[in-house]
Order: sequence, then structure tokens, then C-alpha cells
Amino acid sequence: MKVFYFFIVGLVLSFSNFAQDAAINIGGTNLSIKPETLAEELSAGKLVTSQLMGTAKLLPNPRLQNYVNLVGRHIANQTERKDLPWSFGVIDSTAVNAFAAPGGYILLTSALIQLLDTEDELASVLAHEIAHVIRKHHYRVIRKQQMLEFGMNAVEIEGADNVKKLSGMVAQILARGLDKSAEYEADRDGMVYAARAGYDASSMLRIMEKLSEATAKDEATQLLISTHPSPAARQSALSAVVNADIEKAGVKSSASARFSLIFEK
Amino acid sequence: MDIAKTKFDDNNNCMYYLEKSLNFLFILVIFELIPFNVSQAQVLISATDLKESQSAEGKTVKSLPANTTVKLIKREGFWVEIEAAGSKGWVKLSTINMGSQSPGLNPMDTGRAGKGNIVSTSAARGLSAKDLTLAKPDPAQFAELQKLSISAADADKFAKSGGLTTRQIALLAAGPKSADQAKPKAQPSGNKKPKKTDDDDDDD
Repeated sequence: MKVFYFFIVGLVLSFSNFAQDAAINIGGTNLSIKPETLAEELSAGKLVTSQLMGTAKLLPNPRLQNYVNLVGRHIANQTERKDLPWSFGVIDSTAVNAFAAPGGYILLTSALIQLLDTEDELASVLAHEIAHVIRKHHYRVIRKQQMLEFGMNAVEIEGADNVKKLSGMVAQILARGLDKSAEYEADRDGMVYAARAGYDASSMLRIMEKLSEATAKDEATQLLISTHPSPAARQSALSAVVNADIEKAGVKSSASARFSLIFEK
Repeated sequence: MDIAKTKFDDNNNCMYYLEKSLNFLFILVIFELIPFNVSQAQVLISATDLKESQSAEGKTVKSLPANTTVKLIKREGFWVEIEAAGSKGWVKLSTINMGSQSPGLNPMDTGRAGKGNIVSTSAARGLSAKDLTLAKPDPAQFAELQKLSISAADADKFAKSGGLTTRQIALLAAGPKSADQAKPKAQPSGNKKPKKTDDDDDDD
């Protein structure tokens, strides 16, 4: 009953500009006692993804987009959340980065694609992002920030100041990034997911090397570097946990060369 | 969106040559970098056998004590070819303290040829923290993204056509290293081998 009451109050308050903070607060208190739901997670995903895509749009290359979805979906199939509406997209940006939004919406930048050479490497990047979704890393940050209830109301009021405020909050979360431990966790999980899918587990190390090189060459890695541990630290953290299963999976996959075929004219 | 397409078609030839020359420049730059990378000396974390091949069962070339200075030659999988104490051979990557260095790259792997036009348009943006904050959410693009989603069955078919075989592998617990990185050094990890040092909730 109380929950319902707060929801209504939140809805009413979100219409009035001066009461926005109260709405967030009430919505948040409300939210923290509510269990996580798939519907809520998907709404959070829509918020995050729409914000990101306000900055960079999908690359007009259907062949590449489909390919990334095939590889990504195959990896997602190896996780305990195969039934999410997994969607993968390459966005047109000169920044080297990748993003995982709650619910299984994953974006890679075109500059990151440009760094890659094999399907194994693409798989490693996608697997890291998939791991963020499986662990609900961003979803939990958003819940903790108590903005979802407010957000779902605000989204219905197009053009309102609320939308602006909410998008600012989402942007802040993206710009701040996750705890370093969450990034290390996504590296470990991602390495396993890629290996389960039949890909070269050691490609995750190669990704770290490439990120180091890109950073050294002053390519656009600023946001990535400020939101992640250093690539060298990530690489040594990964190599420290390699076991026999992973080592066996540390060889080039038979599908590796498919990546470059996508770019043939 | 259309700008990208016309650019691609009209400037195809001229872009091709520009790209070729850029690639050449790029290769030059890489070769400049490699000797620097390789000459960076690293040390062994612990005493390790230098192996003839990338296998723990392989023949031992030499036993190396901890803190041996090594030169990195190349990494392959989870093994690194090194030069140490006058011999060449392979050790596990985890036995080397890389510091802030990643192993030198293999110049053969850096071919970025041909991707230029296909993965960028002239309208590409940087996606900085500031860009994100100033951006107006674009739900229409989100809808486009959702349309790209494919079925689990199609992905399966795709994997099989590439000869990929799935494996059963358990998730990994955090090692002592990442725990150190995550927190400001609480205490030296010493020589205890924590089987499960997970600092995060792994209960889902």
C-alpha cells in the first residue's frame, strides 16, 4: 500500500519542476525496498542506451551490425541469462570504448572495432560487456542512485525538465564508471564466456595490449582509461587466475578470420 | 547517415590510396615502437623453469630464480617467450612482473587495412564525459538497436558454421592481484594462496 502511495506521489510530484528532488527521493526510498524486476532492468537499459545514442548513432553498416549480433548472441547463449533481449550495436564514434546497459543492450564504438583484427578479439570485448549485464553492475548502480522510479515517470513526459535532469544523472553514471573490482570481475567472467563459446580465451590479453598501445599513441581512450583500471593491471590480474581449462582454451579459434571478411568489398 | 554512404562511394579511389599510405606510415610507427617495447626489461615474480615450448610438461631449458631480469620477445596465448640468463625459452605470463608494461606486440597482428570507410563516417564524435552529459537521449536510435537483435538459434547456426565448439568452463574467483588493485594495499599478500579472495558478492 505504502509502495503504491509513494508511486502516485512520485508521479504527481514529477509534474512540478520545483519538487523534482523530492520526487527522486521518494521514488528512491520506494525503490530500495522493491525487488529487482526484469521490467525495471529493461527500463534502466532503455534510459542508459538512449543517453549513449544521443551522443553517437548506429553506424550505417548492416553487415557489420548483423555480424556483431551473431557473435554477441552466441556468447550470451553461454550465460545463465540467454533469454534477455540481447542487442548489440556499433556506434559511430572516434572514442575507443564499449558500453553495457542493463537488460542486454550493448554498444561498441567504431573506433574500437577499428582496433580489432579477429573474431576472437571481438568476442572478448563483447564477453566483457555481457558479463557486466549478467552481474547487473550498472543496474545496481542505478538502483542505488534511486532514480528508476522517478525515471520511468519522467520518460512519459516528453520534453519536460525531468527528462533533462534524468539524462544528466545517467550521463554522470556513465562518465564515472563502475568500481574497479567490477571491471576486473567482468574481465574474468568475460574471458570464461568467450572460452565457453569456443573462442580464444587469451584474446582478452590481446585486447589489453591493444588498449595500452592506443593509449600510448594518444588515440581517443580518455573516457575508457578514466573509467577502467590500467590495461596492464587488468592483464596481470587475468593472467594470475588462469587455470588449466582456460589455458587449454587459449588458442586461436577456427572462426577467427571471419572478422576481416566483413570488411571485404 | 547518407553522408557516410556517398562519401564511401565517391571518394572510394582516393580514399584507398590515402589509406594505403596511412597504413604504410602506421607500420613504420609500429616498427619504431617494437624495439622500445622489447628492450624494456621485466623481472620474474618467482622462481620458474624456462621451457623449450609453451607447455608445463615441455623440456626445461634452465631453472631461473626469482627476480631474474628477463627480456620479452613475444606473447602467445598465456605464455611469453623470453630471453633470460643467456637463454631463450617460454614461461607463463603470470610469472612475470610486467609493471605498467604489456608484452611487446606482434607486428603481424596490427593490420587495420580496409576498415577505414566501413567503420567510420565524417560525422563521428568523440563520446567524452562532456559529450555524454550534453547529449539529448535518443529513444528512436534505441528502437533501431532493438531491431538488430537476432535469435539464439540463428547465433547457434552461425557458431557452428564457423566451427566453434562450446566448452564447459566454470567462472573464476578473483586472484590476489586484482584484490590488491581494487583496494589501496591493506597488507602485503605474502605467500598465502587464497583459494577464494572474492571481494564482491558472487551470489547471483
